[in-house]
Amino acid sequence: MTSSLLTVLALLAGLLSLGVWVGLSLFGVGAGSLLLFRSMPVDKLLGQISFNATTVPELIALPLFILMGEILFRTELSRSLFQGLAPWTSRLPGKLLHVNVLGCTLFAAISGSSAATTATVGRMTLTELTRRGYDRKLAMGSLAGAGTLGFLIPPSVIMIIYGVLAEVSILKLFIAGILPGFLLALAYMVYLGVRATLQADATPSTEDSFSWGERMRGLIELGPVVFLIVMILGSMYGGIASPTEAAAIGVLGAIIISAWQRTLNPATLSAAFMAAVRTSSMVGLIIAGAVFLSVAMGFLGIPRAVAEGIAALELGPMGLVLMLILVYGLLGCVLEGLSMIVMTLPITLPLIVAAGFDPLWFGVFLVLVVEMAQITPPVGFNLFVIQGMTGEPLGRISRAALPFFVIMILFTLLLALFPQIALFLPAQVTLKG
Amino acid sequence: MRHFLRLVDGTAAAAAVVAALCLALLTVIVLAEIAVVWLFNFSLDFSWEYAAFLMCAAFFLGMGWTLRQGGHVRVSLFAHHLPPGPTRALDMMATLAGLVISGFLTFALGSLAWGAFVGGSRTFTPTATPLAVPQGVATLGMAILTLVLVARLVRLATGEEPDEKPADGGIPSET
Repeated sequence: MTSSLLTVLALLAGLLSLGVWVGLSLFGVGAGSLLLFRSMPVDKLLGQISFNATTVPELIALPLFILMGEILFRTELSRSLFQGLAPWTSRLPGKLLHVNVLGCTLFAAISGSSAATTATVGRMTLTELTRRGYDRKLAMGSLAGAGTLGFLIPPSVIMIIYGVLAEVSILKLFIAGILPGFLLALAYMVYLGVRATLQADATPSTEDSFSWGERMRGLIELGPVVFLIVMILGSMYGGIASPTEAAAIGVLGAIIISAWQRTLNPATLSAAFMAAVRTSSMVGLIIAGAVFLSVAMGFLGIPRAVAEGIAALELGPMGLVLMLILVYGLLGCVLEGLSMIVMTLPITLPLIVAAGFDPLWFGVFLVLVVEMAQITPPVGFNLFVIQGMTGEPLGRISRAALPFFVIMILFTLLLALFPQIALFLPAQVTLKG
Repeated sequence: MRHFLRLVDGTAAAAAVVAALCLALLTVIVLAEIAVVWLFNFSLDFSWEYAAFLMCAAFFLGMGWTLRQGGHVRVSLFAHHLPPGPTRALDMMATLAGLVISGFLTFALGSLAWGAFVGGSRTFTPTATPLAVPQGVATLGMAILTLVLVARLVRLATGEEPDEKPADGGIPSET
């Protein structure tokens, strides 16, 4: 038992650090350890599982939400969000810095990914805030932090993958993410307000004043975003559509917005489709590999062995959560979020369920953990996105994001103490799919 | 060798275009399903099954081109800290390991598809789709990925740049 666990870990660490692609590594580790420890027709299992894992109906929402994000990325929504939100934030302490948080919160409700949210909102806010004399570090940090809401506020690509792997209702996961998402956004805004009050040069001294006419025009600018939120979330929570159907409606809505903003043409549409193919294939390979590795680990009895080992430590539920935050924090330094979740899930999910936590709650917890990994160097994806937009060194961006990272850790602990934050809403509704 | 590399690149790119068409068709099928359920309160019996097979086809047919574009996630622990020579040597080892795994996967999917073809297995749905078709497409995609890995190994050995930069300016890919 121990030898098979050590072999799996050694193979995984070896292949990954050599630089073998994550999806292929997962297959390699699963197949290699089965060939070593079990006499069974590995190729039969491998073929069947990789086909089954990539034809799961619940997964269809994934390429669709990816496609929707790529289409929206090529519209003028970035400008709409800034012009729509800026007039409403000028009176708050922290002023237009809040556009980052509010923009990400709104965009997260029509986007399944953090990178898409960060890139879309930041394209406009970073230049605008710098031009108006806002503290650049605070502008970058709040964008890095708020961008991660893309995964927490539904729709969420990570939640779809977790739902498929953990066999939890994706729709319930989506609902479970709403309240934590809004609370986290609120926490960011409170921090920005306090920080701006204490640090005089965080915001420009000259008043950005907006007339009520501009405010009303701002609301009109937000029209397309609100239209799409109503289409996607409304159809799901109204009980009309499953997440997959909502995703298809979302693609249609994104195309309508693109046409309305006059950014729709054969070039942008085909570029969006090809980019969606690239991301979908990457995720598809990882999911298939993860499902196979999970089955292989099951055959080798690894999850049970680890569970017994952890049980012997007698950590208690909170101790387990603290340990998981630590482990995921360390893993997040070398792995990107999705890979981290799919590799560890076969072991951590049974542990957490045995400790009395709800799998729904664990989904939200994992999303938060992934979000933290997104803004910690050396492999934090949101940091890369912001680096791509600003050209600032990674170290400076990650220092700017640090306060928001701390807020996330505190929030995750709060979620562990009060699981109801995530579980309250899903318990209230009965839905389709 | 030039011809081989060009042929592999062309095949992978063509398969990716087919993958994009699969995504488009998949979107249309799901939208059509929603429309007929709404308007006529009846369900297209093939829609979910075909949508799932199209998703599978899009995943696999896009894999080779995605690798060519550097779109698959990998950990680069050493790449930034080593001189170009050892970096290239490591990359060749990683590509070789990837090639072995991908080759085995092609074989596994191929035997699955072949078994379905010989045994005439079909889905247990009203459409009774022969499983050899979607499984054959998955095998084809995996075979293309394997070829792209071979081409990558050749490029590394001849000192060429192994990955192409994406030209479509998409969102930096993660998930």
